[in-house]
Amino acid sequence: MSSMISMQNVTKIYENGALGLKDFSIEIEKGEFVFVVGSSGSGKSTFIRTLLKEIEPTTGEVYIDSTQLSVLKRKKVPYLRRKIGCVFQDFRLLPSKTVYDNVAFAMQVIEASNQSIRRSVPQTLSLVGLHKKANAYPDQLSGGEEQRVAIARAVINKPPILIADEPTGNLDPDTAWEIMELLKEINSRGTTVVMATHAKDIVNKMRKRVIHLDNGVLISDVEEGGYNDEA
Amino acid sequence: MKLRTFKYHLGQSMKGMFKNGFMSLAAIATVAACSFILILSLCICLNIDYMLEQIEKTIGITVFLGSDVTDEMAEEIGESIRAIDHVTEVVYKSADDNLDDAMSTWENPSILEGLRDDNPIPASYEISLDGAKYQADVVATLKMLRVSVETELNSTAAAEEEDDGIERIYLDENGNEITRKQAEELGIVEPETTEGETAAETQTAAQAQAETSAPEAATETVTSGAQADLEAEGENAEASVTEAQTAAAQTEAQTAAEAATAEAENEIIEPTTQPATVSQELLDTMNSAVAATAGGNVQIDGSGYSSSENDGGVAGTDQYDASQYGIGEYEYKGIEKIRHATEEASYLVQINTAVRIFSLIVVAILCVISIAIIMNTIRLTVVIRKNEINIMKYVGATDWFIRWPFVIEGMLIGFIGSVIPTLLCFFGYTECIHLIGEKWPFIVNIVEFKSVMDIFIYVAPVTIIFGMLLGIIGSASSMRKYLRV
Repeated sequence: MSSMISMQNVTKIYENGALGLKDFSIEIEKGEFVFVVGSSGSGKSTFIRTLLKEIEPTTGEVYIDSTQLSVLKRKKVPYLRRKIGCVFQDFRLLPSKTVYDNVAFAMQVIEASNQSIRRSVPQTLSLVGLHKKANAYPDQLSGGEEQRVAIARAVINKPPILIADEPTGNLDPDTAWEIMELLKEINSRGTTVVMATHAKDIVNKMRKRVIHLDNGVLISDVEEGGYNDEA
Repeated sequence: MKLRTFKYHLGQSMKGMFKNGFMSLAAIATVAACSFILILSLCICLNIDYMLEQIEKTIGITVFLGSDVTDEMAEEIGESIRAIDHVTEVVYKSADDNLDDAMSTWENPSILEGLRDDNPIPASYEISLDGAKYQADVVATLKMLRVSVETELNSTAAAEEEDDGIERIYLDENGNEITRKQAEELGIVEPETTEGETAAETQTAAQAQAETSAPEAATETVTSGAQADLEAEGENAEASVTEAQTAAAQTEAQTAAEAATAEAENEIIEPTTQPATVSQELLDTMNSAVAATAGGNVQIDGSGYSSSENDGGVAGTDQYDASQYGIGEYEYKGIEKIRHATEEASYLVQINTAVRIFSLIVVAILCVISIAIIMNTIRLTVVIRKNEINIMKYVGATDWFIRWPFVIEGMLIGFIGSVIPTLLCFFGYTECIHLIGEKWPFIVNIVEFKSVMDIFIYVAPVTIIFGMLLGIIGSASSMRKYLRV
């Protein structure tokens, strides 16, 4: 069986000439937990945005779950995104919706039945430990709770891949660890997790696969690695 | 789209509208203003169109039949007119009908009552068309028709020359009574010289024959009958001889001239029919017919005179018509002439087209303005919901799923914005026309306004669809930028 995520010789040069990725190749298997590390501007964001087909690589090929992104039509992109859950540093919740509605929103968007929404949302909320705050609004929650809501929203449609872009960036260390535990839990249920981060201590403690990027070039790719490990 | 998705979108768009209440109100007001102007221009245009249509209907074509056309032929001509394209209605008017019509326009109708027995107005067909723009076409077809009718008439005339001739003479006799009497008197006093002179002047074979074989009995009866007259009038009679002679000479000159003009005219209009020969033939047949029925030399002279007088009469009508209406005239037998107003019709068609083009331009400009304003309004609501759209994109919403709430919102704005002025105008329209009638009653006398139902059966759907389209286009086009995530 082919990889969940496969990048082959991907180079991305932005229109303003900036280098995003340079001859980048990687294979990520189903059920893996992968850290993508590197300083700002190292190409982490380019990597994630390429996976989401937000941007097109200048050269090279990207495959998600055996789908070749370069030949994927624009109309089909939403269906690709349904395979990939997204969590961001700034949570991106809708302030006008309750916790419940924020999570249900992801299911409404893919036109799920009301019945399945009513069944799945409480389940997922208890997974992230927020079933008691279902009717709260985002501004009534702490940062950690907000990120849990975001994670619940990302996984409610059971995507095979979860991409987290610095999910602990705005959180204090204790809360960050709670979030990491949650991500580990989700990963243990079979979801491939790709997490871009700056947090050295988290990477070092987790002992997962670490992909190190610098200036768009793959420096190291280590199983059970630490933040500063060299190949 | 699934029903629950539609419900979701509807709910979303409602929420969106109320959330940005002021902006939505502004957008509704904009659409309402544009719809109002659209309704106004539509009402005006439809009414002008309607009025022009009414006027167009009055510009029909009148076909006058020759006095020598029999009832069957008239029937036949009517049938062929009905068969012409774009002819909606053909009304036959007998000579009497036309006289009645003429009398009704006179201040003192009894003056014309004397014409009842000898009606100079021919029978006619009044033709209505389904559009003034077809006038020229129909007239052209009628001209073609004229050709066939004329040839037909020639053959009938040849077959029934006697009746035809006599009838004509009688008709004309009455019209020129005094001249005839003079001529008769002339015949009584000095029949032979008159005969000779007349014969020489008319120079037809038939007359020459008539001169020699003129029955004496006829002359004798006339002489004995008029003996008293001779004694009483004496010198007056002699004076009238010269008078009659000059009159005869004049008549003939006139006839010749008219024949020439007729020939020239006919040749220009219809070179194929050779009317000169036709009229010559007719004259010949008449003359010979007169001779055969032993009407006498005087009658021959009279017939010559009266037929020319008849021609003159027709020419007179032509001039009269031409000067009054400034319209094309065609003179011939069968269908005697066609009165039409091709030029007027073409003016009307031009006015109509101009009005339509003008209103189209106005509405087009309005559309552009409204779309721009609505686009701006909805773009604001889109910007407010930029984050939401962005999240939707990340969760895997299709473009249309994101678009629908905005499109429905635009539709609702357009609907509300167009229904309000439609309702206002619906109730205002009748009131408005009533007011116009009160203030300027002469307008209502001239033209008729379309009824409120007639007009709003078009205006209401057009406006509401227009408003909703405006909303949809406005919102859909303002979305595009934010869908590219």
